[in-house]
Amino acid sequence: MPEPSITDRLAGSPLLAALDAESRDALVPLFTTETFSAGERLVTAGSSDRDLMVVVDGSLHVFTREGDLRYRLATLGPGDVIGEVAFFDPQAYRTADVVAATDVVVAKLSPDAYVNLRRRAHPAASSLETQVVRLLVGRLQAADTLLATLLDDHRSGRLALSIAGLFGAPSVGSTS
Amino acid sequence: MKREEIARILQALPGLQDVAPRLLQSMAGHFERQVVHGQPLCREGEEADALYVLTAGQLDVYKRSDQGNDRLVAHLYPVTLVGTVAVVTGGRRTATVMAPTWAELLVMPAPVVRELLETWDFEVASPLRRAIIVATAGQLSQANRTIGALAVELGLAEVAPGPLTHDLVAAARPMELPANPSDPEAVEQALLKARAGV
Repeated sequence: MPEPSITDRLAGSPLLAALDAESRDALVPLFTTETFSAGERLVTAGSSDRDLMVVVDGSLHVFTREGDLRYRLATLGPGDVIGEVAFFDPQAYRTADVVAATDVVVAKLSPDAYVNLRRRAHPAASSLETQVVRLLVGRLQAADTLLATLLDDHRSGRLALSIAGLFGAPSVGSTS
Repeated sequence: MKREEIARILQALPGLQDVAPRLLQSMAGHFERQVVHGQPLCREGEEADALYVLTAGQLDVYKRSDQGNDRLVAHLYPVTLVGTVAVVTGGRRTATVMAPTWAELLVMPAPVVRELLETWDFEVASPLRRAIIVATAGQLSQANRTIGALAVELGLAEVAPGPLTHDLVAAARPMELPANPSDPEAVEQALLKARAGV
């Protein structure tokens, strides 16, 4: 059986699969694809680029920063969404570094393409906003639950074990 | 509170800045002012009955852990939307929100929010959805920073390659360690302080 096309994989991603057919058909052609090699940085914290990205193939690491340290917050794979905050808020900047862990293909939607839909009050703009809200509230619930559990572990002395499971072995001083 | 005043507050919400004043005033008509003193605004597990805009004071967010303990996971400051998750999902409250001292809020009943999001004019519904996105993303970013601060505390973070931008240096202040790092209460307070950027 042939592999699904990039368009099919994008259309089947959590961001777009739940949309009505009209919205999905309007949005999919507006995405462009870009490939990155393992180790390349897709997003730099503090930068002002605002594309919304969907991972089509490969995996990426998300690092956020605390002072001059960074920590790996998540590893993303096909279907995951990157950059929704800056995409919807023109005053926001990128809050994390995103680095390709393997060779990666992403589909990008520019804010201009979305604004154009919004100006025409196209249903696809509403559908996209609604779906991003749903994805975000799910992630917020998961993050708050994780945080509450980590704070529990802190009190019981199991924090180091739990958080090592999230972040991997200590690596202070490395410069990957 | 007058409708014009509520509209002015709403305009301060990220996502609503470019909404026409006449539409903000129309939206303002569905909000009522409420002041809470040291009491829960909502409890985890309750049915969601309203969306809030925190206009003054402070709110604390408690989330129940897997072990069933309520943990303080966020401080909220004005002006921000509160209670978005349950109102959007139509489900029950996913966290308990308390005013540690006092807080002033604008309250919109949940059915009105849902009607607004689903059936109202696109010119109003779209900015409200964007305001919810920005507020929810801000709270997610706070949670992630705290999780990261825990990693830093335990020496699990690594030196970031490349210079930080000016904005990010200001936004990502290193955590101030408590005087007694073995005291869980002190560590929690330090984490929350770091996260709030205080």
